[in-house]
Amino acid sequence: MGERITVDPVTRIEGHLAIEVEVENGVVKDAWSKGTLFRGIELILQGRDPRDAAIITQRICGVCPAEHMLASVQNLDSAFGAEVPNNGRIIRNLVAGANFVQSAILHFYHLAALDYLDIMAVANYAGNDEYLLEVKRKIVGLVQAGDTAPLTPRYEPDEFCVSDPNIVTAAVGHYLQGLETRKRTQEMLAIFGGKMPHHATYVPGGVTVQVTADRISRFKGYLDEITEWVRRIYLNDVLTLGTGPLKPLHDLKVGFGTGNFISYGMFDLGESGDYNNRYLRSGHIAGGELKHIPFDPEKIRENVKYSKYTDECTDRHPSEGKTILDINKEGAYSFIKAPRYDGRSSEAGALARMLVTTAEGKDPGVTLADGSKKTLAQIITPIGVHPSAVARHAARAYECLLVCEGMQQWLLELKPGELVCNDIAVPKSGKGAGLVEAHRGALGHWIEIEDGKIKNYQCVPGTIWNANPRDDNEVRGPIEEALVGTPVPDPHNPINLVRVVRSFDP
Amino acid sequence: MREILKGISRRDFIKHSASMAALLGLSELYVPQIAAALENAAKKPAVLWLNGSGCTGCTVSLINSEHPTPAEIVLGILSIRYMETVMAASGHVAEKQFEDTVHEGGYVFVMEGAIPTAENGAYCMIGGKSVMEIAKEAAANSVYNVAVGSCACYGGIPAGDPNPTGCKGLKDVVGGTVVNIPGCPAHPDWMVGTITHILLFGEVPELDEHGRPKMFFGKVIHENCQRRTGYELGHWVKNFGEEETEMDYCMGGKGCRGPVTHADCPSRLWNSGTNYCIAASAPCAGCVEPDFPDFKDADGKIISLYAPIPEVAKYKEALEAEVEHKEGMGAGTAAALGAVVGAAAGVAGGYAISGKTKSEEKEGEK
Repeated sequence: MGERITVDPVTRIEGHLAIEVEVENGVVKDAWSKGTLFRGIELILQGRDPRDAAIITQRICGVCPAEHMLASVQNLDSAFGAEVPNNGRIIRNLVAGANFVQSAILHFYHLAALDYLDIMAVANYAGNDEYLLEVKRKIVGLVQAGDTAPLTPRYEPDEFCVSDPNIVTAAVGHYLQGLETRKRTQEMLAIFGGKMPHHATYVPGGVTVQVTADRISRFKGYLDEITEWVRRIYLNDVLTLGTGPLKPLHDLKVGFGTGNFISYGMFDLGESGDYNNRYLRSGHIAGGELKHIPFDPEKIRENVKYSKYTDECTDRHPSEGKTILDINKEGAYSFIKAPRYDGRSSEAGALARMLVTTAEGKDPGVTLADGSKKTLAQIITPIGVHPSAVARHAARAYECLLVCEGMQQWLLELKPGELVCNDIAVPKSGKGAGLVEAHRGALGHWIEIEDGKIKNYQCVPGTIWNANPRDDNEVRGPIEEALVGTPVPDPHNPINLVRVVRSFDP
Repeated sequence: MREILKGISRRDFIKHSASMAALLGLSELYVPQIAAALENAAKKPAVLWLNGSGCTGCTVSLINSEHPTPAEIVLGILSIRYMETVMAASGHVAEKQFEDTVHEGGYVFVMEGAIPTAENGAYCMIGGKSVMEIAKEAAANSVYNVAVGSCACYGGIPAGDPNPTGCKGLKDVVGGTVVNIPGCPAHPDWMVGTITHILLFGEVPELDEHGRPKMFFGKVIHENCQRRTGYELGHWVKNFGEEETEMDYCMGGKGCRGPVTHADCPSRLWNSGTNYCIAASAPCAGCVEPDFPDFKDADGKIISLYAPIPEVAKYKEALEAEVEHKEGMGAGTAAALGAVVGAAAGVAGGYAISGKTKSEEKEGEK
């Protein structure tokens, strides 16, 4: 029997998560992921007007509200039989695309980077770059004032931490620039969203906001600047760290995972809601073999053997899903249900989307800072193609630029003056599904309408795919599986555990 | 604060004080006073920020702040001792940081997210303890208690009917004076401005009956709405996507809560002055009100967020009946009628809204 280590709270995530692991000879033997928050949004929706679901479910996540609202309105589109005009489809893509970029920058620089950088190395910066000297003054000023919160306390840096003063100081400079750039993505989003977080313009049938030339040009002004920053700074930083100082962590396959991946696809290119015609592709990868398996929504099931819900909630398709609490259920250790695709514990997120897109041969490639055009496969082959915590960051940065470049095209397809919405009445009855990708993974909403009201509404977000507990067949969830094998040489400083968990951007 | 100001030029410092004055709606005459207050503060004010049953949207909104910038807030102005979304520490290191901060005292306690009270708080746990218990500990030794976002103020979305986890706002759990900064999310200026006011003047700003600072929540959206003319003239948006939505047509018939929602969105705007819901042809959802999301009709039944609120429905009906009548007589304009009918329906000026919070009402029902 090894030693038990608990990390509770796991910070720098959205929501509340605890991790428990069993360590033997300095390596994780077993792991448990515990969702410790239950709000009951699905229960709150019962009996309400179906249209309200879009406003209420977007509040599930303040980091990915655009994607939740997209899943919800696509769910309602299908239940209402609403056809979304091209302008409506494109504006939805631009709003959700802006939020993808927001979320990627936030995750790498502001949520994850502190796991990889010894930030105090900035004090040893000896270069003469004016901007970096200012960064150094800022950090040294905090140290001299004797108040370095919130940068300390922390898990202490280990041998994988980057401590080269030049690299760390540049990265901290980009952390500060990233705060500003991320904010600009939200301003860009608000042009077509009204406000952010929790934008206001998606409705069943399309969007409320009209297409005008000035909105297009304002959006483009922001997008050009943001695209260049992502290309020259963000992707460049991730590739520099991933092929250099963090390569040993990747080589050790820290955070490998289940080898199964799921993507519903994102950014409709033709008919709204058609998951077979999307910029980022839908599909499944099984057993680590890079072969594209077409996505079939019927193959989703949720298990609850170790989740705090009654047994009748288990092994159901979400369209028939039930949410009945049993908080004292014996053996149950999480409020998160355990979704499985075709019976497999499958990872969701940017790595899943990029592997599925690559396997289908549909990665269009991006233009790098040096002007060369490359696909993800071309970029990562030299560092070894296998999943890891570091690989997740690389996929996210690559995808971020891919989405920026996609938005550049879609923006020019908007037609000022043409229809943005087919506003139709709520039907007496119906069933629907909205299957999209949130930045953190495959996101599904399902609805059943009876007497014009919501009879049942079920949501399965990306982090539910990743942070779930064991299923009815005792198979671990993707984060649990990714933790197994992780080196934890010092049980009082389990920094590798949070690296692995955060790489999923829960 | 003097220490960290050493690296800042006098010019930047005065500029910073001036932007603080503008944020608080104070005259420039106050700039020297603000500068002095900032300089006299011995060290950065400590903040303990706790997340409960929520979505982290208010944290994301906070770092959308334009002046001061997010970097200034996180590294320059405040000493953020505990804030799970931002802090370096995890696990036992984070837990100890919480305990040390509470033990030391002298901090501003900020609550984001509602507090589940059913099943003894089991629906939101951190480090094996309920957020209900943790919030009580944090509030017991703080200097000021501030609730950000509608969840922390009044329960918000997770307290939506039937409130499955017994969610409450901070004041209903810890009592005493709580400054409420509602919104879904709260606007960064409302958060930064309120906290700055508290720190500069050493007292909470003037609050309304729902605990909200009057400087941000003193007027209803309707008073400064760009679609007010449409409301007065009886020009109603019927369907989303119509060209009229781009003009000054009113969205009252599509559920706009502007007439009963107290916030300065039309003048302040969101995301560094980019836009706000109504300008993007989307109805105001009333997200700063204690009733959000459960607005009710005259019979006390919850209505859709896209259904007209009773005040607007009554006015619209009266106006339409009057227009029909006058058109029959072939005289008068709807414009001239607006004010008359509005007064008759009791909705011409401000709107009286329920003085109770959601949880108080629910208590009353028991």
